[in-house]
Amino acid sequence: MDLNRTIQNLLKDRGRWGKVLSSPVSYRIVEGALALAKKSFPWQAIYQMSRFALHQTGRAYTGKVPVVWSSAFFPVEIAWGLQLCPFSPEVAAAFITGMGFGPEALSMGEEAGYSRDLCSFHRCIAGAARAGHLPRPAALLASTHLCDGAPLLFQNMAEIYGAPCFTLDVPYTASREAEVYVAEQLERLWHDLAEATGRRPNRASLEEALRHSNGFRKNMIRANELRCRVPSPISGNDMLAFIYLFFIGQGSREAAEISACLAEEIEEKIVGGRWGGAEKYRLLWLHLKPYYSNEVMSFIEQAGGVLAYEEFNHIYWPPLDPGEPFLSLARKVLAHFDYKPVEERIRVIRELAEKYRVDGIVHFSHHGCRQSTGGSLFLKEALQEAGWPVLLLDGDCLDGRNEAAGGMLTRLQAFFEILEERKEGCLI
Amino acid sequence: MLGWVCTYTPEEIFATLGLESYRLYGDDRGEYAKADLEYLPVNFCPLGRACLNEGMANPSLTGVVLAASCHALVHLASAFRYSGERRGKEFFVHLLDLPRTPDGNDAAVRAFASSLRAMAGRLSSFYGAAWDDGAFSEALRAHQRVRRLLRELYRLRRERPEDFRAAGLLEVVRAAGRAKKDEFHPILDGIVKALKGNKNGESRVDGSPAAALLAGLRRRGSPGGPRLLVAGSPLPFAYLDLIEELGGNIAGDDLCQGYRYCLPEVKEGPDPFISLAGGYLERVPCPRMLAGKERFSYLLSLARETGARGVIYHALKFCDASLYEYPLLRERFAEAGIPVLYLETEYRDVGLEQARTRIQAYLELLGEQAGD
Repeated sequence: MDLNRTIQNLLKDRGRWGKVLSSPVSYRIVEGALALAKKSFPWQAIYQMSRFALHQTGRAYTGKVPVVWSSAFFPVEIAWGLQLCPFSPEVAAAFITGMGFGPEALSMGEEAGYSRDLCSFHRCIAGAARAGHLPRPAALLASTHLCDGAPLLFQNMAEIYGAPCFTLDVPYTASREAEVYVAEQLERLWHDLAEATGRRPNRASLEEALRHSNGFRKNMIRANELRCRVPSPISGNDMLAFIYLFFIGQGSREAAEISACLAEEIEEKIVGGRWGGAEKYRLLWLHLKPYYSNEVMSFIEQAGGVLAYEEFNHIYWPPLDPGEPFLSLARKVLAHFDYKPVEERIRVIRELAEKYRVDGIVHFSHHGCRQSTGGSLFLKEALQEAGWPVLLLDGDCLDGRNEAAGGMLTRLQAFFEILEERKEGCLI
Repeated sequence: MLGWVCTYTPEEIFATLGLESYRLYGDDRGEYAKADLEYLPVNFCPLGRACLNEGMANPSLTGVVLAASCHALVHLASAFRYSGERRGKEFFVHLLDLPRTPDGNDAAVRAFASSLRAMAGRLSSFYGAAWDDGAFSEALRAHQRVRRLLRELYRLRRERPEDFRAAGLLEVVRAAGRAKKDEFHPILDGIVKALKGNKNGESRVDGSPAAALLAGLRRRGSPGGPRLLVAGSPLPFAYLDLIEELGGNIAGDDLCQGYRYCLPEVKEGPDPFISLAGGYLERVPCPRMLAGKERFSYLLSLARETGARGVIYHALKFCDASLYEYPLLRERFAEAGIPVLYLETEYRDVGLEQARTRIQAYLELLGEQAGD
């Protein structure tokens, strides 16, 4: 079942897409439709995650529960531990784009003064918020690591909605002092967030959120280990859908359950020998993908390419200690390999490339991503020196207005030719 | 010689350790004008790229200290490291952690002090320089004296913007960022006195290094029209000259290469690093510091103090701090009845002619609003 098409058909009248998007009824209807099509999903974990995402989003629009916006890398366990309703505007922006309403939301963001040089996720959020299409937050949570733009955007959004914005300041250098600095902020933030949303800070509930988060971590590690098999037991394009759980699910019971289902399904597939297909090029995919069109991902698939692994699905942090929630969340935040000198990202990507036995590495250089794109030339050079062909695929995750997919496909085609030649031993 | 970029870098530490320091502004003409392309993507921060080129072109530069203020500077640090390695040069690169908490809260001050202490430690061992509390007190005083005089220059400009060339004032600030403060103080003192019409000051300036700076400061041509405030990312000088050529009177700025450089007030205390951290973090915050409300009220008061009828807001491509600040800033100033003209550049003079038409129209609008 093509979920996108189903929803898009429901929203044919584009003039009203915002109203439909912001109505909890829409989500209930789609959830119902989804249940009917349950068996047609190739992966039940994806079905469960889609239902979870729809349920959560619909809930955010009911106005009956305090909604907190959380930026992509904020330790969202804090919000789950207070029984709040976390909402990821970045995921919402990808959803809006996937539904075909990205250009309109982007234009609204630009009219509000957000330059086209900015990350399209954020322009889309600014536009949709301005039009009143996003759920009103009781508070906003942003962290300063990995994305310079998110805390700045959230600060602006907090002004618009008249809600408090809690920013987690993450030092660049991980050290014992840095851990304490972040942990102290998290503890203060947890109390302040509880007060702002009318919740009572309950340590047991926070500890439970951390246990769920550990469950998610453990299950994803298991799924990732199973993915080392050649040929790949699951499409990386499918796996990129789990970004929702990474951004917003960690700390929820559902994320732990869905990830357990995913690992089990992959294992069953392997044990049952029901997997595998023609796999010409195994790729390691860095950063996200275009959400406005499936053309690029379909092209890769048709050319015999598979995303053997994706940087965004990598579990990089140690298990959390529910007995020390703030300190262990601080360690998690500080452990991110992309928030360190570029050599650390290179080291991790090399390890992954070896582990997943990839033929080549594609870095999707999302236009507005200062962190990822800024270091891409160092990454390319080091990985090429280590023997992997690397493609820096310039593009944009959400804004397809200025982008001819043809250009990207040509570059991918040329890259596949290089991979082919290497396989044939024509290139040293 | 040590290069640095961000105004949250306390130069006082370099001076205390006896290290010559040099602020990189991205003057990247010459043989290394395109060296950055080897290290940084084409859509990378144009200021960062230009600073890399400038640094590579300077053979006396033996290291850089870059504040981890944004991803541009973080990647610039890698670029300096790689370029140093590639040239077989032992090159010092330090990334200075900088909290984003603008209100100078204790935890942020302590964290920044700790970063500064670590930086001083690394500098000491790399350059074999020793920390001396007496030298620190001296450095503190020298920097304060220069900043006070720079603020005096800004005060004079505020009184008579029509006599000043904004780019010339930024040249003076640039010179301050590159000079030894005790050597620069008499030069600056002479300039201030000359501008105040003090004959002795004038004679001290004649034929001295200050003469060129003073000449650059003096505006020629149009007496100008409306007073303006310039804010945002560092602006190519040609744009400032163009604004004045078209009749704008730049009466104030909120630029890290301009007025904000002159603001830190560091009070001496028992712990030099706590003193520096407090002084720098308590200064008027830059847009990166997530202090939107505080910044908007500061900028509105700056506009009132300078009598600005309009604001020219400039954002460099890639510069999230400015690009995200603009939308709300535009709204706040509109509420205050002050229109904002937005310019986006790549830190070069390219696009000047297109900007001419927009600036002209903007100045006409301000004229109409004032009933000129």
